[in-house]
Amino acid sequence: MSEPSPITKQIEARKRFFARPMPEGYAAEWAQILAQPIPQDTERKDSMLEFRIAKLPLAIASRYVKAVATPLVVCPVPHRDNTAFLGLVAFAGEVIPCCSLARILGAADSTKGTEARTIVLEQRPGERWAFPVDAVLGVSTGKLHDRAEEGGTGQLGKEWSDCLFEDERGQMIDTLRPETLFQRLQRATA
Amino acid sequence: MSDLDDLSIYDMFRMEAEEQVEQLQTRLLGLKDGDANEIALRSLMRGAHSLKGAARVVGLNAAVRLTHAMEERFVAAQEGRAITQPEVDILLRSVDVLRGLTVISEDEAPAWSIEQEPAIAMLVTELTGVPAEAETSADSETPTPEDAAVEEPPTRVSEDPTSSAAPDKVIADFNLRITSQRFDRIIAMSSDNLVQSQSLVRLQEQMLRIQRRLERLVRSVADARRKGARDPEKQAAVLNIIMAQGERDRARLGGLLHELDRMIHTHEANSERLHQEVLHARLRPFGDVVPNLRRLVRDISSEMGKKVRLEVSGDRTEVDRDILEKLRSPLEHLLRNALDHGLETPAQRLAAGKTEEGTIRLRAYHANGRLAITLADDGNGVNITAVSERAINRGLVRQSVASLLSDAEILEFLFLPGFSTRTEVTEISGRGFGLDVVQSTVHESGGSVKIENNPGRGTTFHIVLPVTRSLMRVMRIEIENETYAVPLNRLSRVANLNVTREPDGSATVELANGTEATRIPVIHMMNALQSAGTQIQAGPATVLFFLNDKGREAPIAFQIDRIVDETTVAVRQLDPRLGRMAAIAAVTLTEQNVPLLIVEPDDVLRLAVQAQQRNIPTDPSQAGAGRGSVLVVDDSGTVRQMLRRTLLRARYQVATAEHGAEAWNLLQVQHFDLLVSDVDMPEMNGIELVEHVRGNSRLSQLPIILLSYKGREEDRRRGLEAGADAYVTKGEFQEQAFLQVVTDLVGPAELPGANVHPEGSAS
Repeated sequence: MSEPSPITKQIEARKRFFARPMPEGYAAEWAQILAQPIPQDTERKDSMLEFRIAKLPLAIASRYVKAVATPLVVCPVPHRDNTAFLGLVAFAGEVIPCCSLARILGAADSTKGTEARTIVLEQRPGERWAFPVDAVLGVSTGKLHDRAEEGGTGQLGKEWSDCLFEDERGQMIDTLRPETLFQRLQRATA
Repeated sequence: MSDLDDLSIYDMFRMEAEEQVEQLQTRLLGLKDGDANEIALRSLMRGAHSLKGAARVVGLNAAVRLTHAMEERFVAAQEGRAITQPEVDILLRSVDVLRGLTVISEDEAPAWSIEQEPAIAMLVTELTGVPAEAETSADSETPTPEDAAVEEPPTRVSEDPTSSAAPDKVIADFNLRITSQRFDRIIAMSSDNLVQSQSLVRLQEQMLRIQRRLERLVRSVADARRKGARDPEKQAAVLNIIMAQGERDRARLGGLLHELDRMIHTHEANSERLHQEVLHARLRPFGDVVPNLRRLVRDISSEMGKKVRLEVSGDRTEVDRDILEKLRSPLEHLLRNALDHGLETPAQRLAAGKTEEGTIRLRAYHANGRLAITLADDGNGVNITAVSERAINRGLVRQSVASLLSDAEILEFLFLPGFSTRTEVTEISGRGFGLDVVQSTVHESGGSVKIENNPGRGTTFHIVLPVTRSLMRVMRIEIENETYAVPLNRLSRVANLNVTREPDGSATVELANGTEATRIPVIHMMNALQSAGTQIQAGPATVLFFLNDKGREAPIAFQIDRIVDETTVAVRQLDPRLGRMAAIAAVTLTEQNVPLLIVEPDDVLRLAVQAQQRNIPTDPSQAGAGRGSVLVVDDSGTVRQMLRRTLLRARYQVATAEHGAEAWNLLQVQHFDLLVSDVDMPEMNGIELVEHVRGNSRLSQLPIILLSYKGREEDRRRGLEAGADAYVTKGEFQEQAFLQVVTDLVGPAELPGANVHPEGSAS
């Protein structure tokens, strides 16, 4: 009887390997592993523009931010003074309403420090608003945490902010709900 | 503006159809019974023929058959078979059907053909006297009796065939047509600008070269100074060379600056011309809307058995396309009102000593830089008593209050939604949905509408619209460190006059009028623009005088701080999100890219009168609300007025807002002791306002009275559940009962009698 070829030997070895009895607990271990829920990526992440009004840090989803500009000159409008509506500003050849987010939020009015900027938001094409802020802290992508889970770390009411943004430095910042923000800007402007 | 290359064949067809349909209608309306001149018939025939050709190109066979039938009829008329008035009606109905093609997209065209087939078949039959063929053959232009396939009676295309709003579908964008000459001019000017821009680049390169040479010269001077101590002679020689080079560069730079200056001027002039051309491309003659209006008058007067002549003047007045579009609907409403309410039947007119035929005069003209439109009928005029009674019957006002209202105030009721003095609703009017739509449409465009009533002699509506898209000459003025633009064409004069303080605290200036001198009240412009008081100092001051809406100098002077300059600005419409802005007509951008507000003189004059009546304290510290201050919110001016007067008589201080959002803004910055609010309002309704107030920690305790026409128990409960302290029904409004509620909530007014206003003062 001739010697089996190396290939035949390999095939036979594989057959023996798979024909072996299953080690004790092997099937149960696999069943347990497979029964475990697949860990889902529940983390919500978003790109946020972080800014500051007085000492209040806030964040808004970057997709609504059209521009961050050096402080724009506000043209006050008669009969609308001293309200949350500050007046009109010109940006990129357009005249757009400018509101005080500080006044809308009931925070202290923005100062005119060297870090002051004007943020231009766009709700939908052609509908822009501007509001001055005391500083723009940057844009970063980070996790969003439900406020209920975080136990009220933020400084705004739930109407204004239903989640907190954990920025790259690990800071928790109130995120502004776009629906509330645009509704209030609309009301302030009307 | 669409590039013609971007237009589809159907777009081109639609543009042509728009033009031909309007021309056909205009010519048809001009046809007298059995009497048509050769020119008119030729034009009609050509119009139908062109439209037929265009329809064939886009495969609209149904339209081809209809236009062919029309063309045949016009040809027959040219050959002597006169067109009768019933036939004019058929032809006009045919035009209505074809008008439908101008408002549908290419995708909708096949459905249009199927939908209109029965109507077209009937019209073709009526026009040719021969039953029309069915929608099968586009090539066969002459229908034969055996091909007739008319199964359904024709359907009227729309209840109001002339209404521009009749079609449900609205084309979102529009194609702007301009003449080829204007287009060529725009291209030429754009090319000039391009060439000039390239010249600027060349100039910049030359200046950069000089800059580099000057940098080298500076280095050479430094080098020469460093080495000069060792060889003074060589230093002097080097410096001479440097100076010579510097002198050449200075001269060269001077030349370049001169060239730059010239180019800037040329560029400015060219840009302005280009801008003007583009702006004018938007303008359309007012006459564009007239054919539809003539048609409306013809159809409705015929339906009502009235004889009416529509006289139009100013049909060449150029109007911004947007405004013209917005004007269509209000004008149609006003015409319907005039035809139904205003003008009498022939018998009634004869009995009243008038001509049998009534006249409606429509006039468009530019006055003081604005578009003015008057629509006057020579009918009965508005029955003031009937309006007043209707308002009382509908619970809009109490009898005792109504008796205090002026005719003008009573006429204001006509602009309330659903208000009509007619007890019967006809197809034409009577539902009361007309004038409020007219007013709101005109207001949305930043204009105003007024009624002038001449009992027995007719009614005139005055519509004034601001110029919204054009260049405007303005005077820039400065008031309390803010700059505003005032339309030059509304300024009567500007003068340096001596302001005198009168014993009653008011201020006046003396104006010489021939040999006589008259004293004219003067207020600070800021008092008209803002509610806060600004003190007027006695002594020399710069004052402005405005022309009123009738073009006469208004008898009030406005003190300003200084005149900045006169300039031309490109007018921009205000953002509609801002709502109606008192005293401001439009906005522009300055050279520094900062918004500059353009003042609305009519508003300023109106506010000035109010400021005078308020007797604004000269010391600003005295201004502002005190104890007993009430904020009244109602979108009806009449109701606001009535409540304001009631509260003022009870010595409360009153501020007003037109809707919830405006009130909410005021509440955030001013203190009030009581809020009195209507329920149904635009922007933010009364219930929402109450909820906002109750949800705000600072305002949560503010007493609130809701005031509404809705008197049902569930309405009352809804208001109270939202957080109102009291709910008062307007229909049951009793002044004393209302004041008792006010007193119960905030106590009697404790103001020192400073704001007690005379009866009839305006808010």
